[in-house]
This record gives sequence, structure tokens and C-alpha cells, in this order.
Amino acid sequence: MKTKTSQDIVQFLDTDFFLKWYRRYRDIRAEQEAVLQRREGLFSQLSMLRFQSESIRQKAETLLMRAGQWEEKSALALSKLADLENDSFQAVSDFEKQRSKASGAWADRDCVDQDVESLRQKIFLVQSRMKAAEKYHSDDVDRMRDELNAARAHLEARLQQLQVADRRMKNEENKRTAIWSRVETRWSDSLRASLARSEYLYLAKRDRALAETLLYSADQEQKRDQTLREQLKKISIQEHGLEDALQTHLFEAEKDFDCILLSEFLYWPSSDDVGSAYAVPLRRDQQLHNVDLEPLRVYRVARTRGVEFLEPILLDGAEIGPDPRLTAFFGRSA
Amino acid sequence: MKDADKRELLSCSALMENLLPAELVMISDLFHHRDFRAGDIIFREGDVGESLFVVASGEVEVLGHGASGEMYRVDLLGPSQFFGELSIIDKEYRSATVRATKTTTILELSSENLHTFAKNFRNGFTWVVVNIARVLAARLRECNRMLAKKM
Repeated sequence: MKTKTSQDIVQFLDTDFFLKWYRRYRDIRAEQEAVLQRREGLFSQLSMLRFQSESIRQKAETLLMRAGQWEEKSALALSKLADLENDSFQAVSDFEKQRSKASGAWADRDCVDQDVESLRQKIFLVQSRMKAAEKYHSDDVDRMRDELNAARAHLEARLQQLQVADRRMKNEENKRTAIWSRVETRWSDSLRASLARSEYLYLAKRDRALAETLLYSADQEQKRDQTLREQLKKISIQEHGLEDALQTHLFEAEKDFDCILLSEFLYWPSSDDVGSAYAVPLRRDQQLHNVDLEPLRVYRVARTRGVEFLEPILLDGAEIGPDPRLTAFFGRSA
Repeated sequence: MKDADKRELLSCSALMENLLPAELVMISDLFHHRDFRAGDIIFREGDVGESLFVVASGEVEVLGHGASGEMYRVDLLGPSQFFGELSIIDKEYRSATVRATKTTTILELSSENLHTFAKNFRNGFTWVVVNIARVLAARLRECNRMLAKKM
């Protein structure tokens, strides 16, 4: 490899031969950038898709599990409903029996009550007749008094019987009311169980339908996932093709330009200084070097440090002779 | 940042006064631009200093420490003003903390890059040093004046 001056390199960088090569280099790099961006875009789409698909499946599974729980609840409600129906039949039958008992007690009490009433009328009648007999000093007064006493004693006994019949009637009526209340509770429970069975079944159906929709959607996402993976494969092939093209292009440059070209810098040994070389960056980089690198500008690098430290080179040459500025400055100071 | 913008900005800085066009071209190439967000610390008091800086856009504040450790603002610098020159001259640790007060672009000249400039333009380097000395002399005069007032 021949040594070069910075002027040689500047002139070479301006030739059509080099500029044609450089345009092709930039085109390949631009294509690589575009492909890389496309691949990153596809990759993030794929990741997103997988995440979505997984999330949809999990949601569908949750819904299916919940649908199962609703179905179980509905079956329990159905079983409870059957028990309640049986119970309510029994309660109605008990009520019928009790109603009959209460009616009997009421009839018994009514019978005693009528008896009491007729005894009261009889006593009233005997008293009236006795008063008349006493007025006329009849011989029947004593007989009537006996009759009155007997009627009063009878009334007293019947009044006690009436109290007993009254208590019995109220007792039976209370029992009837309690049984009716039980009947009503059973009917209400049975209605609740019947409605629960139906509503839980509806909820189970709804969750199942939703889960099926989600599973269908997850399947569709899986198909898209497949498509994206195929696209990624194609991109990967394209990437390899471009990398091969770039390596060939760089290899040709190293041979044709008689330089060292590893990846992003062209190097020529310096004819002015054996310890240094000239480096020409092919890409801009304003971040990681000691200077803001501009493409196709000539920098000097030391053999040992390489691009760790780049010096911009002087194209117009350094100063020659005394500097009038200093003369003026020191003259002024003096 | 474009080279032309860098050159134009540096040509307005007191640091570059009296430099010839070729010198300005080279020293501009040796400045490296860095971006900061509001509140970012550019360097802290006590850091090892190996660069000087010129504000390209935005604004920075120079902060000192009080006796009880509290920070107070010493100065506020805008475009084309420079700072960090003390450490590059005396090779000592940074004497103050500098922080961006808004989105700021700074041009940094490392000691090594200044050396490269000195190798290529001895007179130009002398002028850069003279320019730094002028600013330091002005600050020293100001300090003396303030001290004299207090005494």
C-alpha cells in the first residue's frame, strides 16, 4: 500500500471513480437502515400481537371459567327449586288441614256462643215471669227461682266453655296464619330460585358466547402472527443480501483504492509521518469522537490510537513567518 | 450542528478574538457539540476538568457553594460566552458547578484537542490563551474592585 499526502486524498475523494463508489455505498447503507427499521417495526408488531393474543386467550379462559360457575349456580338453583316446590306442596297441604281445624274450632265456639245467648234469653224470661209472679203472690215463685238458679248455673258453665272454645279458636287461627306465612315464604323462595336458575343460565350463555368470539379473534391474531413471521424471514434474507453486498463493496474499495477499509473509515498511511495515517469517515458521527465527524473529510490519526483521537488536517498549511498580530499586541503592550 | 453554524458562533466568542480564518476553521473542527436539558449538570465543583466550553444556544448558570453548603448562583452565561477555562489552564479541579437552566447546546474543546490546535497554529493558540487571560484579568479586576469596596 502506497503512502499518501492529505492533498492526494482530497483530490482522490473528488474523483468520479470514488464518488460513484461512495454513492453506491450510501445507497446500500440507506437500504440497510430502511430494512432494519422495517424489521424493528415488524418485530414490535409481532411482540404486540403475541402479547395481545395471549391476553385475549387469558380473557377467554377467564370467561369460560366464569360461564362454568354460572352453570353450576344455575343447576344448584334448579335443585333448590325442586326442594322448595315439594316443601311448598307440603305447606299448602298443612295449611288446608289447619284451615279445616280452625273452621271446626270456630263452629264449636259458635255453637257454645248460641247456647249462651239462648240461656241469657231464658234467664231474662224467667226473671220477668218471676217478677210478675211475685207481684201477684203466685205459688210459682219458688219454682221459678229454682228454675232461674238452675239457668244461671248452666249459663256460668257454658260461659266457661265459651272461653275455652274461644282460646282454642284463636290458637287454631294463629297456627293457620303461621302455616300460611310458611307457604308464602316457600312460594317466594321458589320464585327466587326459579328466576336465579334462568338468569344464571343466561349469564353462562353470554360469557360462553363472548369467550368464543375472543377465541376466534385470538385465532385470527395467530394467523397474522404467522404472516408477520414470514415477512420477518423475508426481511432477514434481504438483510443478509445487503450485508453481503456491502462487504463485497468494501472489499472492492480496499483493493481499488489501495487503502485499508474495515467498516466505516478509509485509511491511508501518511507520507509525511510514519507514525500516523489519514482517516476518512464514511458516515457522520457527532456523538462518540473527540470531534464532530463529517463524512469524506480527512483526519489524521496516530497508528497506535487510530480513531480514538482524530485531528482535522490543514489543507491550506500552517502559519508562515512572524505573526503581525503578536507584533501589534506586544508593541501595544510595550 | 453544522460546521458553518459552529464557526459563525465561535467567531462571536471573546475566546476566538483575533483568530485568522484558517485558525478559526481548525479550532471549530476541534470543538465537539453536546446537548443538555434544563437542569442537567455539565460539570460539578471538584470534578477533574479537561475541557473548556462555549455556550452555543440556551443558557447555563455557574453555581458556588456557601459556607453551610447551600448553592448560590455566581453567574449566568448565554450564547458565545465560555466557561471551564480555569481547569484547562491550571489543571486543577473544577472550582464551581455549572448547570443548564434550559435546553442548551454547548461546544466543548478538550485539552487534547486544544493541544492539536497548538501543534498546528502556535500563534493561534497564543491568541486563544491571551483571550482567556483577558477574561480572567477582567474578572480579577472586578474582584479587586469589590474587595476594595468592602474594605
